[in-house]
Amino acid sequence: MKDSFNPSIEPPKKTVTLVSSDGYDFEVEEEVALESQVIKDGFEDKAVDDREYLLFNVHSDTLELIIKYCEKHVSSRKSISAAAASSSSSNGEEALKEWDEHFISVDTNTLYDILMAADYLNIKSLLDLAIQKVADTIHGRSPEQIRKKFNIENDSIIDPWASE
Amino acid sequence: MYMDTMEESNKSQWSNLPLDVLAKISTRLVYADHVRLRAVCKQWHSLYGVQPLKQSPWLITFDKDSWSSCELFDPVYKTTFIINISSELLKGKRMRDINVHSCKDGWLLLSQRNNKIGTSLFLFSPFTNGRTIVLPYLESTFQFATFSSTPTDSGCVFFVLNLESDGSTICMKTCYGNDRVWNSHTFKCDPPLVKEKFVSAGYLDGTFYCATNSGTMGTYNIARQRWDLFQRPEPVDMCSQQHLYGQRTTLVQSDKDILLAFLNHTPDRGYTIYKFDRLNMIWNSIPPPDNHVFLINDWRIVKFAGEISGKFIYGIYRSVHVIFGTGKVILCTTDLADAMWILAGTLSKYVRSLYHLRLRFAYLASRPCSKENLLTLSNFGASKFRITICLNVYGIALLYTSKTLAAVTANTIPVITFLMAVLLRKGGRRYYGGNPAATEFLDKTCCNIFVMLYLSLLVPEAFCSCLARWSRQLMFSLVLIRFQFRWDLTSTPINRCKDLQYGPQNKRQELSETEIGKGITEMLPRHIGGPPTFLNPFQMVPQRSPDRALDKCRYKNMPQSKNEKS
Repeated sequence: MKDSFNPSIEPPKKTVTLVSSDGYDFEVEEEVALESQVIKDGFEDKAVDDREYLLFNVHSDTLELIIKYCEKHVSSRKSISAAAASSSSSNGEEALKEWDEHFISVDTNTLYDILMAADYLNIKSLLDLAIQKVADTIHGRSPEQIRKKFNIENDSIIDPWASE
Repeated sequence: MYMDTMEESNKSQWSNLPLDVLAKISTRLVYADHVRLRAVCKQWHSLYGVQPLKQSPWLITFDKDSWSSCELFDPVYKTTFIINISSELLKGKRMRDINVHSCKDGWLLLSQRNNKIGTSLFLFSPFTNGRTIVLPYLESTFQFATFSSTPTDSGCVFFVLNLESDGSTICMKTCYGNDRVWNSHTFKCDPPLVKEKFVSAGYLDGTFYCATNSGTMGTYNIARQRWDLFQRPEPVDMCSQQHLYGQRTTLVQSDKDILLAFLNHTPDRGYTIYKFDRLNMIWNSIPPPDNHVFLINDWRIVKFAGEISGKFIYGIYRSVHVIFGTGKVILCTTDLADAMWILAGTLSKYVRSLYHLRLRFAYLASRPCSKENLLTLSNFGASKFRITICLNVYGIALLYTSKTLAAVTANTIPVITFLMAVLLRKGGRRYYGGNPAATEFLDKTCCNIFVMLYLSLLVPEAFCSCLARWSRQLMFSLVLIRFQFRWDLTSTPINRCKDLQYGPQNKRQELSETEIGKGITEMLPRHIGGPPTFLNPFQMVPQRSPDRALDKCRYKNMPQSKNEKS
């Protein structure tokens, strides 16, 4: 995936180039890139020929994951709508849910990167997924366990019930 | 830039989570998680004012008839927090010294009971270190008081309402969070609300909704200062009309709906629920909502009721009604100890229930051991274990299966009791020598076994985990029943009569035919304790002797014995 964009070969579909914070170029289909609300907004504003987006906040490792997620969602959405059109029964949504669950089962550092990237790129479904994952991780844990899980330093002694 | 932070330190990464993302995360968490989350680190502590996920209500209970301490029960984590109340307004006060008017977002609106005309209202929150907020002094009486939102918000409106005794004038007072005065508003009621009393209220989008005990609703819009009255909803059909409209109505606020719940007078004590259509300003009958649990207080002493969002706190002062999705009251009770029992059972908190049981036993055991005392003790034990078993079934049904199933199992009890009675060919309360406690126990045990099997088909692990507990309780109960038996079989005249009336056939035949008339007339009145005219000879005749001559003899005998008695 980390091949740099080669302008000499004309792709059959419209593509967009995403540049990660560490300088790697990712060439993705326009449809996939439009999963991000930020890119979609920018796309409408920008001139047609300018198809390069610099994503200062997203590392190449994270961007790779996110592109993977978007590609999967775009393709499965197509297959689901195709199945619905031909009125054949399909469990595409369930399979996608399973895939999502598997996708988000990552260590907390990667989860943080995905969460921040999804927030920055404003990909609603991915943000929801990541937020739910974090919430599930926090639920049922004591402050000390949360600190350990997320590798947070205890910088204050706060009485848990002294809120407001 | 991003790389730098990555390399700099992994430790601070999560704690630097932007607050808006953290807020998004916390909307998926319940209140107890919020508290823990805020205790994690300094940055996270600055999170404030995010509405937590909707959850089952927290419960507040008071032990020992005192406001010095309370217990909060979190139904999600099934943990109890003991809160010592240090506020001078509450410390050392008895339950009856303080009136509870309403509760919302973890705050209780209370007033001190005194003989003066005025009332000093104040707010208390067990969550925030027992913080209290004192409201301006109110120089009048009122029927109920409530408030709109979290009292710490400046936009919070406090609201008291009073209906004159003739029902013609209604007087309400409002006070904004920051104000130090109450503003009065008086409205005429046309037609007058005779013999009605406002008992419950809700707040939605700038309007207070208040309902009387018979279901008439009044709304007060704060901004427009407008008071409107709505008649109680029309009954759905004639059948429900008969049972509707007692004195037991409660207005419940649920998310974005105003609901009115009527307790039916039918034997199943079901509820009829109406939803207020705010657009067309009419009541619509709806099936009870599926995913809601309402706790509604005892109707006779309505302290506060309703479904609240936010921190979900409910008071149980004397008793609790729990409505589940099917609209059935599956549990109800009359005193605090039993309320605890039921909560314990429903929420599978066995420790507390056993503690209560032990206390009662200790009390009874400390008294001199007489025959009556022991009988009481065994009666009590049998009945309490019966309750425990029943509640365990409910608890498990609720924990492992759906609420619908719990309601279904509740409804099977009378059916199974009836089937048992038919199978044993006994008329209701006859087996075990007419011992009511034992009979009831048998009824319920049979039914429990049935329910247990029923459940075990669905959840095998629930069955296994409870089998041990049940068997222990069952053994103990049987020992107690055995005790009771021994006392029952002592030869008191009453018991002899019982033997005659309900005992085996051969005993009856021992009596010579000529003695029958005399024997019965002598013995039965003593057993029944009523006048001899209570006897119905026609019932006895075909059983005792098919001989017509004897019938005549008995007819002759009957009036005679009556005269003798009188």
